[in-house]
Amino acid sequence: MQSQRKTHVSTTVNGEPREFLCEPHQVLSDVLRNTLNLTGTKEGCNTGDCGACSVLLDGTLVCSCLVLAAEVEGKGVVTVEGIGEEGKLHPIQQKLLEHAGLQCGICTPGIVIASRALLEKNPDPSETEVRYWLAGNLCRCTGYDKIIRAVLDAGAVMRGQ
Amino acid sequence: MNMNVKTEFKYVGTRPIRPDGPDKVTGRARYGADLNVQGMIYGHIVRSPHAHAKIKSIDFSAACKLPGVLATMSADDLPEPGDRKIPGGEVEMALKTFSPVVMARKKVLYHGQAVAAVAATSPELAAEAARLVKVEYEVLPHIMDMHAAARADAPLLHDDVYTQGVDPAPTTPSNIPTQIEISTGDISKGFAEADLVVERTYFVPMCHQGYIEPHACVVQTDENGKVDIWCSTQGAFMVRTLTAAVTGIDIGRFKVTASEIGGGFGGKTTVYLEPVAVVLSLKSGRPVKMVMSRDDVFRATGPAAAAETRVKIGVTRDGRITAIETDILMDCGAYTSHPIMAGVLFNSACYRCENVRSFGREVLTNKPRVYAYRAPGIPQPVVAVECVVNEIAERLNMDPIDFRLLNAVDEGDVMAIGIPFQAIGLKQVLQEAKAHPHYTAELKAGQGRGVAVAFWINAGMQSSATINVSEDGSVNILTGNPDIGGSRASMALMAAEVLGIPVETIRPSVVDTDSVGFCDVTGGSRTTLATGGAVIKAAETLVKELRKRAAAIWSLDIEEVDWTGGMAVAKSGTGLENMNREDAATRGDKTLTLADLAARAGATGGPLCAVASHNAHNAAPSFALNICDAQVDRETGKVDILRYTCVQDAGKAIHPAYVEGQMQGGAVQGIGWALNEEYIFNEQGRLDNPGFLDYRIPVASDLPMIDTVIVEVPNPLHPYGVRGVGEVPIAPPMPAVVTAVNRAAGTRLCHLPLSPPKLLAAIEAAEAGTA
Amino acid sequence: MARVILSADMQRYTDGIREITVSAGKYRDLVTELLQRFPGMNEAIVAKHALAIDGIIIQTPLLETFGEDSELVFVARIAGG
Ligand code: FES
Ligand code: FES
Repeated sequence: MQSQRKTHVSTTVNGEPREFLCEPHQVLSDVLRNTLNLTGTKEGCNTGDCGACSVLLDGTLVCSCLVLAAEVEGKGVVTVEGIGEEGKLHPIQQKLLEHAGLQCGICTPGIVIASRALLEKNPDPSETEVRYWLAGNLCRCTGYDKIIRAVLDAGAVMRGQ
Repeated sequence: MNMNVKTEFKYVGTRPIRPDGPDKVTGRARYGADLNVQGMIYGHIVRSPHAHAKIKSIDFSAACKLPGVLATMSADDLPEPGDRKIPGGEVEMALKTFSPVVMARKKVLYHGQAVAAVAATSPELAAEAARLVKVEYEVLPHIMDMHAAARADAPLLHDDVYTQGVDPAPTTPSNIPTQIEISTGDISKGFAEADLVVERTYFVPMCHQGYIEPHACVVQTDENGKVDIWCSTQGAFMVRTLTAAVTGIDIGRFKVTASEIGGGFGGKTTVYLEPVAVVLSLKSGRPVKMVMSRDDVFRATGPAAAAETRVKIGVTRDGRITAIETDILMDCGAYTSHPIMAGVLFNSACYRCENVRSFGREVLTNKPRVYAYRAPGIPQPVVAVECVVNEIAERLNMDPIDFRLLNAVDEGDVMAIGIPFQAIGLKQVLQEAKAHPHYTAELKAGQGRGVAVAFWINAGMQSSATINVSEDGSVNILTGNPDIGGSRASMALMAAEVLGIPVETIRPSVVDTDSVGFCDVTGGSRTTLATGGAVIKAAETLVKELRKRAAAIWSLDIEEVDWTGGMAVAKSGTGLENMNREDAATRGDKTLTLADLAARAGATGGPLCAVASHNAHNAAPSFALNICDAQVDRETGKVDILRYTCVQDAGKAIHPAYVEGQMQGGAVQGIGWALNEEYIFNEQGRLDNPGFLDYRIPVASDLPMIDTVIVEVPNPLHPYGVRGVGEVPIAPPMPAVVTAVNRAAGTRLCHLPLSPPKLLAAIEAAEAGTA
Repeated sequence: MARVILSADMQRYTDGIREITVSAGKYRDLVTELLQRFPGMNEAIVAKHALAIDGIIIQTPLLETFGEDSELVFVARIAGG
């Protein structure tokens, strides 16, 4: 296993061109965290069940623990590190803070990414729509209440209300 | 011993953004698995494929032949636990009850127990090497059912466990480490006085805390014997104590840094990986990283105990409780741990009753050793007590809250164990719930409502805090308690209150064990009370020092200098709390701000810093109530939670948003435990659902908003009236949900979780019965 | 004389006596008095308990003092999460 040839991958991460070498079996979350040092993407299960590793792949929400790193060749990856503008929080991040939508914070990067994907598709979601969209992002601390409020509020801000 | 409890606040009770917030929403915050260091190798644990077996031999030779494998270890590398007792935070722990959980010695007692470990240059290589470790077992019969394990002829897990709490002391070992009984009054007289007696038995399954972040650590050792541990934990000092005990290395050689922690709920109040990584690092001379898989977390870390509780309650026709009897059998997994204590002592602490008998036994089975999970030992029996209370109220035709108000404990009442209550908020909680619109909202056909209350004792214990003032007057607070749910914000608020400076100018940090005095774990609902108490104490010391410095500058006596609004004021304008500089200047008072004094610190005696060491003896209990509306799909058995409200006496809520968060999070964990969550073991004694797909915790779409009402009956023993909030929220949800569901479905299920197949069967049975 | 309520565990060494009064005013003297009175008991058994003094539970009562009419309750130590 240790002697297999590594794959060379060119991709874009958070708008910057990046290149890396990976093992064929390595998943994207592993490469992001341990090769590219982008540890904002979290791993809670590595089986696609918790959503902590959510990233955007060419704009689509995916669990990066289920994507082979080699698959991102030529694609664009957005992680939590690439969400805000330089020196400024994204409205979703800001609203999560204002609503105390995190306790331990391990689920937060995944929630930020998933919510951004939602609000891009559906800028004015209902509570139920937010709940179903985030059903793949487990949070054990908050009971979701404050997260849902934060996302709805962020949507309002982004719509300019 | 009542002290002056402050009731007017400038900062406490506000909702500032938490200081660690930006790091956590941007991904900069570093959790257990987020650290990589130069030269690091990776540890992997070999786990038992059997639920009960003797370890006959361990052969590392094939593993060691793989290039890149740098170290191996087993229990042979650890000292024999013998009968050593280790001072835990709240209770003393016998080393032999947790050292074998880190690494099994001679025997394995549950599937997934750690047997050996290897370290190699990549995680994949380490995993491959672990597969090559040859362990020879002699398989023994395993015992999974707690009733069977409790029988005298059951196969034994340990040959040195003799039931404690029985007279005369037993001469033969058993699977029952502890038996405890408390009683007060005359239980038979109590039942004789009753007009109605209801007796039921409820079962609550083993479940997991379900924190999203798996256990992880990085250990570095050096040539001088220093051991640095970075890990996800509820207590860096606890890791130091327990790792030293398990490895036999002196405490003085350790430095433990707690990473940010991705949830714990009691499950990270012990060590699993740390001692293993220490040994692997010492043997290889390399830093070692270890991260659990989700599978490992479910199989081999401590879940919460399963329990069966029989409860019998007697009441008079007019609704007065005359007797409460409980009998609890608690399944604690493979090693003694004692959640039974709280279960027996406090299961009916909400009620005034002269005749109480509470009995409990702990049973050992071939399952992972249980550890704490929010209010450990309490939710399981409380389901039984509260569901029966609801049934009684219904049969007496009384409103369930009125029934509880009639029997609720209040200040001066004495608990069954003899301790009188100080000021408590149960009655206020009940009244708030009764007045809440949810309680009187109409229910449609097929919907049901349940209420339940619960008590938790809360802990105090030891904490330290250091406050340092920078040259510009900005303030750093150092404590040693990992911030699980916003505690940095609470620390900053309390310091702001004492120092009279804006909370944003205070920077609270959680530091390593070399950088602050000892702190017990973040757990037992104690951090805001006890570590906050240390912060308040340190801030008060600092204020005194600041007054002294100002007095020296003005050539006054310290008594002639006040501290108010963040500055020293000469010739005090008495009574002017939090005045500003202009006011003081208008009045002609001389002032020196914190920044002024910080700038002149060198000339007035040196750097401004204050340290506090604190053993909090002022914890006070919390009460919580939940109202749940539920609806059951009669075709599928699926439950919908329609509306949910939590009311809790928090004492003074320092940061109300994080108090609400504790209430909501605890409620949802309890809802999960009531409806879905359970450990399912198969014939071979293996956990069948060790992943989030099959061990289903509540997701966003399962739930409504969770409404909260914070009741603030100040703790009379705390300067700001703080109680403790983190644990009690998990106790009322199960009975509230079970009552609501049974009412909605017309069933009387007493066996949790109320999963769809079980509900369907019960609905069919009920329909057949009435047809 | 302070009133003392003994825990269920301690009552096993007191022939079931649950409540006593003591002349001690300090925790240390209280322990001595208990051991004298109930020879079956030993220091380790006492040390397993927290002591509630007038309703306030103290996990580590070594240096505690109390008054003539204090109510003392020995209670098993409880671990939180
Ligand atoms: S780590 Fe990818 S879904 Fe859990
Ligand atoms: S905040 Fe802890 S898991 Fe969501």
